[in-house]
Amino acid sequence: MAGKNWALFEEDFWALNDALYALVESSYSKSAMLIDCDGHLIANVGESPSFDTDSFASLSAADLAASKALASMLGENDFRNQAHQGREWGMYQCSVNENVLLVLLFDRRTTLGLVRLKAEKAAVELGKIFTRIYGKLDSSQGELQSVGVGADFASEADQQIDRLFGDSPNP
Amino acid sequence: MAIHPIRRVSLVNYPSREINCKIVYYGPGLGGKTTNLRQVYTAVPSNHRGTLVSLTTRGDRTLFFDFLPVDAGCIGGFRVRFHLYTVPGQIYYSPNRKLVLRGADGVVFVADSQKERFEAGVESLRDLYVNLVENQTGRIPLVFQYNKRDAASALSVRELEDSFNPGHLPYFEAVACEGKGVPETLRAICKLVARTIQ
Repeated sequence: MAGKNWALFEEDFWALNDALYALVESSYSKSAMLIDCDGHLIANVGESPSFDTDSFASLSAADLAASKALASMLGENDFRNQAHQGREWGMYQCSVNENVLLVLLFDRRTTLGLVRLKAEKAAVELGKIFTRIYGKLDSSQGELQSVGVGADFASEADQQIDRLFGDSPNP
Repeated sequence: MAIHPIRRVSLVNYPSREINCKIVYYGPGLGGKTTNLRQVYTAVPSNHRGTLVSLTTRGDRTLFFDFLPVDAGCIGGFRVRFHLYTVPGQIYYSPNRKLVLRGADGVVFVADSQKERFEAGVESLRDLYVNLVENQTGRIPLVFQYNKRDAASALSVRELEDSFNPGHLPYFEAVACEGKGVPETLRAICKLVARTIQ
């Protein structure tokens, strides 16, 4: 999948969400996120974080990318997981596949051991869902040549972008 | 597999009607990439942008990347977000640049107009093309920004164009520290990226 495109459809979205909900409940975590290797947030369940999730996703992806690069320097294919623990919050992340990262946020209600155990099992299940998604996209390549945004998308985008990004000061 | 044969749309989330696009500011060290993002952060209304994240050295040089999410609002029924990244420009951060460039939907090449920084710009552009090929990025929109136009040793735009942009892609003159040329550049790359979404 590296360097390839993909989209998320209704059925897959809910399958991923259900798996994440089950994981949050069974591990007593605060929230669970799926993030793609380019730093985009795919799904987020559990308590709504008070921070900027886009920034969080980009940093998590960078964190994983850096650790993969370090693993490669040591002759390892990958470091399978990472954990960070502070006084109140903990964060556990592991790869679902080469393109998707699972991140769990937890507090003192649970332990890193339990979170890791449940996350590793869930990652396998999530991996199966993504395999299904990729297979679906592969088999329907022709139908998915278009995002389906409509004919006016480009002109509407132009107007919106003009509105948002004004001119330079003192042009 | 793919959604589009020429370019990638990083993620189209149909249930939440979201499209996320990644734009990377590339170029030599101290050329003004981070300054561009800081200016964008200042210029864009707070309800349309997230947190500006900078992973820097103690000397305030970019170590890994800067990141700023910009929400363009609802376009064609989709919420469109542009994720703006910079890469570290210094030569020895090559692995970091390659990682940040991965999955880019568009690139802004920020060249330093100063004569003494010309070679660094050429080297950086070469590095960009190598990394795009190695990342199997395919064809994506690219625009040039010639920054520091107010510098005493600035080369002429024609000299810069001949060297950096023989293919005559869009270019913009800028004095990023004053905000000049920053929105024009961003508008251009965002529009080009948006036009490739079909």
